Amino acid sequence: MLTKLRWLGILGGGLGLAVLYFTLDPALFPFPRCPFLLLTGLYCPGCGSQRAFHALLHGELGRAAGLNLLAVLSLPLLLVGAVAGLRGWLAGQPRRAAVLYRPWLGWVVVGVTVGFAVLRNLPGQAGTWLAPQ
Amino acid sequence: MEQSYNPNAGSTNGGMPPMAQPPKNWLVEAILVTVFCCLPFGIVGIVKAAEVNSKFAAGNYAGALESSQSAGKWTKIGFFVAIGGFVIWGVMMALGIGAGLMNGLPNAD
Repeated sequence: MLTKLRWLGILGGGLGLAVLYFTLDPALFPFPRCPFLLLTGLYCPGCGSQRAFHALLHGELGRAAGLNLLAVLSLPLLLVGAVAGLRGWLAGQPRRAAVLYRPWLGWVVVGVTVGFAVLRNLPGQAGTWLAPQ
Repeated sequence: MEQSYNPNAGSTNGGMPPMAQPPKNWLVEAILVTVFCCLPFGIVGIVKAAEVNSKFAAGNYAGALESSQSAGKWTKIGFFVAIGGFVIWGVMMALGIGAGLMNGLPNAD
C-alpha cells in the first residue's frame, strides 16, 4: 500500500513538473539556477537540463541535445528503468531490467558522465558544442 | 539410466534464491539526480551503481549489497539536498530576493 502511494506520488509529482516545464521556458523565467555554477563558474553534468527538459517536452530533440547532451543520451536508460519499475509495481515485487545490470553499462555511464562534465568546460569546439546553449 | 525423466532436476540447486537477483543498483535514479540536481552526489551514486553490477557479476553478493546501499544513500542525499534547494529558491522568489539576485546571472541550470 505504501509503495502504491509512493508510486502515485512520484507519478503525480512528475506530471506536475512536466506541465510546469512544458508551459514555462526556463530560459525566460526565473527557475532555480545551479548552485554549482554559481560557486565555481563551471558547468556540471546537469547544466542546461531544465531548458533541455522544456525543449524535449516540445519535441525539439536537437535543441535539447544542444543544451544537455547527457540528458538526451540517458533517455533510453531512463525509459528502460521506468518500464521495469512499472512492471515491478504491477507485479507487486521488484523487477530488474537485465541491461541496467550489465557491468559494462555501469562503467560506460560513469565514463560518459565524467567525460561530459570535463569536456563541456574545455575551450575549443567540443567544449562549445557540449556547453549548455 | 532408466530412471524417469525429471525436467526440473537441475533447476533446484538449493539455497540460491537470494543470489538470483542483484541488489537494486540505483543507476536510473542516480542518473536523474546527476542530470536534474546539479550536484556531485549523483556521480558518486553512478559509480556505486556500476560497482553493484561488477561485484554481482563477479559473484560478490555481499560487496554488491554494500555498494547498493551506498548508491542509494548518495542518490537520496542528492535528491533531498536538491529538494531543499528548490524550497529555498521558492521562499526567495516569494520574498522577491531571488528575482533581484537572478537578474545579473547567466542562465545555466
